[in-house]
Amino acid sequence: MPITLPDLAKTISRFCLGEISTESVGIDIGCHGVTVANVSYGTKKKAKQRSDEDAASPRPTNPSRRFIWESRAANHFTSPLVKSLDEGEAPTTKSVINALEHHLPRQIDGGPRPVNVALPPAATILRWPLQEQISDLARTIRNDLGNSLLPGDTIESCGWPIGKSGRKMIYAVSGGMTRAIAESLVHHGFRTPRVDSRPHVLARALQLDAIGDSRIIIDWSWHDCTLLISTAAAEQTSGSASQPQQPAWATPELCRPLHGYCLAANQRMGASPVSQNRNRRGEELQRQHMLPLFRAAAEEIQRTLRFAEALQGVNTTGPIVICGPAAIIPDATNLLSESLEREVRSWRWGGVKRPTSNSPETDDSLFAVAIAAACGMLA
Amino acid sequence: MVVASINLIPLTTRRSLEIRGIAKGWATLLSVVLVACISIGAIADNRLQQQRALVDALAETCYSTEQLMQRVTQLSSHKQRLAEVEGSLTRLIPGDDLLQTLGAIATATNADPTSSTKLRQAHIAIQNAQVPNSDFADALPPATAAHVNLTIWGENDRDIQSCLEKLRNSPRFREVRIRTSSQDSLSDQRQIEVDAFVYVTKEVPK
Repeated sequence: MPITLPDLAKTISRFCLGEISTESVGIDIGCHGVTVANVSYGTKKKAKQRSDEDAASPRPTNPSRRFIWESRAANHFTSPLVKSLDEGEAPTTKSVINALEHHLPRQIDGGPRPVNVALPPAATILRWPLQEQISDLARTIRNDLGNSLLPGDTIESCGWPIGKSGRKMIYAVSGGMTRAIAESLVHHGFRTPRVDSRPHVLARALQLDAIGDSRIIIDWSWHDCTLLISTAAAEQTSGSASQPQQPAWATPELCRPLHGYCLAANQRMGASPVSQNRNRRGEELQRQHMLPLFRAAAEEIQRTLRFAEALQGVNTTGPIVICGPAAIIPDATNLLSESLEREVRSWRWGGVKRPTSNSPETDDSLFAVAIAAACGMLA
Repeated sequence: MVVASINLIPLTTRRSLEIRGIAKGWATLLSVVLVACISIGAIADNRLQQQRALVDALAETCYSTEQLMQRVTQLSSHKQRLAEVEGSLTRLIPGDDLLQTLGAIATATNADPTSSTKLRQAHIAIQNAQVPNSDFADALPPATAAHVNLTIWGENDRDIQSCLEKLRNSPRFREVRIRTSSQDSLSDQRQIEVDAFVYVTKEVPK
């Protein structure tokens, strides 16, 4: 087929926009720190081979098989973006940009890569308004975004239906913050920045899980806790069987912040104080420290699941996957599993390769959001 | 599912970043192409200059040779003209070839009055032939040669031998060869037939 000049121009433009890139970087900005994962698309022989094997098997294709996790990095902020644990306190754009400027691990090799960012949950708003509240929504969101919304900033939002219940989830962030982050990232040598909706990134992370049969994920970190129920990964991927090159990402359904149950809240539950800086890898967090928090959280999770079950078209069966720092606390999954009376497991990378880690236990779950963000950029 | 809809960067920012990215990409590409064009142009220009310098140098070197060649052409045409003039002048010289030949034969054969040899017959063919085996061609003025065929009678071999010696020693004779030799049985006289070339000079009359 002859290549015409307009085609060539289009291809060059697409390349400039990062659409043809085989590598991308995902950045997960949390309230306590930032994690970065570099993922490349499976052009390598092994990845293709595995992908072909999967296509031949009757099992649903795991989209993570096509990705290669190249490298990772994590940095903790000197002070968390949110001081108090009260719901509604949002970090300011300035503090987020400051934290990024000082703590974002820089690229040390290769050219500028496309980048995808997931914002800290504290800086975002999740609502599932009733019909009568919709007219008032813009004003309440503007109120709730608080510090992160400067005068003159737009509100950037996206929405999706919750199952077949007719209700809609609204996810909103400050346009000023996303703009500032995008510009800062371009300034730091990334290209074509994207800020994806965090629920969508979490839904994607569910699909990239090694086992991949789960519908519920809890992103549990020091200052945030978000529960997400997604459409089943298997249902989504079966539809994309004709196009194995482009895994269709699952869409989120119900997403609920559990602000009061973040790891830093265990002090409130009567446990001995634990400093996140000292214990960021969770080695010293003992069962007895976390027990009250997990019990309380389990109750809240049960309540949320019951609410979700009441909504039409939302399926809440299956195991629960935990990602974030909570997932690497010893016994956390067992504790939750006992309390919830269903299978709970940590998120594990299902892709071809993972960077070497110094820790004896798997700590993939810390990078789940960053990986999912990066993979979303590639497919 | 429309993936783009979940991107929360404001549309204006996204557009401006896209435009910046595309502009940067194209600028890079164009600058590379430009640099390539400029360097190719510079190389081509450099080579052109070199070729021009070479042509100039060659022309300078060839200038004297060319001048010489022109001079040679002029001279050769002049020489040809002169030769033509010389030829026509030579043709104007009155021909005394026969007399010179006869004189030469007479001088050579009758120098000695006591000789008993007789020149019976002389056949003279005057032709503008190059004198064969001429050692003096360069030293003497332009000349022609007359081919002579002499029949000499003698009393005995000695006389004929001396007559031949005379012919051979004469500066005007060349290529003296005996064609036939016979003896008359009645008169007991010897007869030889000699072929020779007689050198004939052209002299411009004063």
